Amino acid sequence: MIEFRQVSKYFGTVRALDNFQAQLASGRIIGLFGPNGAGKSTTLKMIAGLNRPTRGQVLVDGLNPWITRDRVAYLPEVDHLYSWMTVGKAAGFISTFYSDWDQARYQDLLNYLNLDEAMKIGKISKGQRAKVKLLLTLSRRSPYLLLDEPLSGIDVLTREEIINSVIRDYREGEQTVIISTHEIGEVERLVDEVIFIQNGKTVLSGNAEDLREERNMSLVEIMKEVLRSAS
Amino acid sequence: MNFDTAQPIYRQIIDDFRKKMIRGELKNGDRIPSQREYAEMARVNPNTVQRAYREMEAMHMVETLRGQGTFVSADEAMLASMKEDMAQSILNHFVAEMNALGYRDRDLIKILEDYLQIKEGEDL
Amino acid sequence: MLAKSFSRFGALYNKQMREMAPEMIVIGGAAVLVSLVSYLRMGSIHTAVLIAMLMVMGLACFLPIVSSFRLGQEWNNHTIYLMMSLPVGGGMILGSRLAALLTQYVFGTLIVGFCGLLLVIGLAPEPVYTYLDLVRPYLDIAVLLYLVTIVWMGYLISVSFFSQIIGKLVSRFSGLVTIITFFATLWLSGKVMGLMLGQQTVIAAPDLTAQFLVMLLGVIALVAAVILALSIWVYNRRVEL
Repeated sequence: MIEFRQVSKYFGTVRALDNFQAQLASGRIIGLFGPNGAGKSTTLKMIAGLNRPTRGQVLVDGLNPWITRDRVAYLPEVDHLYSWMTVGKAAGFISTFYSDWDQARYQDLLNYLNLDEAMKIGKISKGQRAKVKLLLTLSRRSPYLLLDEPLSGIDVLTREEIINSVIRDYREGEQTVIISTHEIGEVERLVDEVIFIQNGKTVLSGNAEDLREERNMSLVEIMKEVLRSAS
Repeated sequence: MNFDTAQPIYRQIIDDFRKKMIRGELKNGDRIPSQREYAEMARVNPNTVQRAYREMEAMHMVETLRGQGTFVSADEAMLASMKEDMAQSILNHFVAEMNALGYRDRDLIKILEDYLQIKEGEDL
Repeated sequence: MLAKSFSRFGALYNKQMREMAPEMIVIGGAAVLVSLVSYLRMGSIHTAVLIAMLMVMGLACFLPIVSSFRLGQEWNNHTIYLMMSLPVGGGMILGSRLAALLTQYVFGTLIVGFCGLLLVIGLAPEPVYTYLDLVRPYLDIAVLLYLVTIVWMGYLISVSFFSQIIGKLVSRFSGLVTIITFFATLWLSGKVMGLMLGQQTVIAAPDLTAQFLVMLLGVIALVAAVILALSIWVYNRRVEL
């Protein structure tokens, strides 16, 4: 389980998170939704141990996120791979560091995503790079999977491939997936729980199906309404 | 598969199976896709599919045999009652919507008759 | 456990070496080329040859410092996201980089030294053994001196790491902060080393005894280790993305 206890985060004078309080249950697919600059990336980076709260506490399985980095597979929004490496080299490099690396799944995903180990990361298209990033992240049987805007700037067909890859390997109950995006429509059917975040605060959270039932609206519409009333 | 995202998805999954059973596309004893297969096919959260399957099992629409898969277990009686329930719910919805448009209940029979006559004509 | 750490260190080390491969090839190639050209063109040991070899040697010495500033580049091309996500501490990350850079230094200097030696042997008017006798008494001093340069390199690289990491703590004027920290740290640590060496200052041309060199080695290594440890601490506890 991941806990955010009264977390505030300042980057200089800019406030990214404002007394952010959340509990992310294990074994669910959680959507972290909100407009750009709402604090979604900051939240994910905190879980990944890449930054620290200015106030408050973040706990992953009750521990400091810096310690639990080996349980977290983090897919950042930026291109974080070495462009001079080939896919195979990158996989070899990364797999050395994680005991949960699954070579069989890697081979399977390689085929499924139509990628080639000889591809040089700096020389492939944007869509293919997004798939390579996903490949290297999903080839681990990690308890936590964090996806930061996995679909942004990607063409429609590649988006489908990406979503399908997440679904087909998802281990329900065992794996916690957190997807942060401002394009809710794409992942609407994918999420169990949602947290709507704006200006660094939670404006609404709950079970996706329950919310649909209560309000007779899609998550996209709920977010629109929630943001309208909050501003 | 298309789902109305303004309604709970697990319910729509159950309805989808219900309709197939009523129409006879799925017969008693037929194997339905595993949860994972269905989730991939429908591009839906596997947890949602799990919830739908669990409810279907609770309603005895399907049963899971360990190691073999999930099978339709709805007998004739259950199918008949499911069909009735679905029809009832559609009727409720129809009447409510027509009322909302301003039509009164007693007008509905005539409207329905006219509609069906025209439809018969077109079908010929 | 240990095997795992070993392979992780190895993976990081290899990655660094692979990134620096082009430069190392250039140095090695330059050394060989200059030697070859000198040997074929000149009949004897010209000053021009000496200067050329000294320049390549200078390059071999200077290059690792320049390469050490690659650390900051990891932030620019976002690969730091990958680095920091790896479940290892700053000790592994910086340690492997240091090892790779020192390898680059040793490789470069040895190649140039070796080529120079061959050149001397080839062009020398008198047979080799006469020179050997001349050189022998100074051999252990020479080796110690070389080791001192290696540790000195380690020291400069540590200061480079430290200043870059400090620079990354601020979002604006990062480059300026890095440069200031670099020179400030050099100045401060220089003072500390001077104090530790006591009377014997390096500039005043002391007796280059083996004893003194060993002490010098120790002092530089200690100061370098402290700076490196500080860098590791800041990386682990203060750097954020």
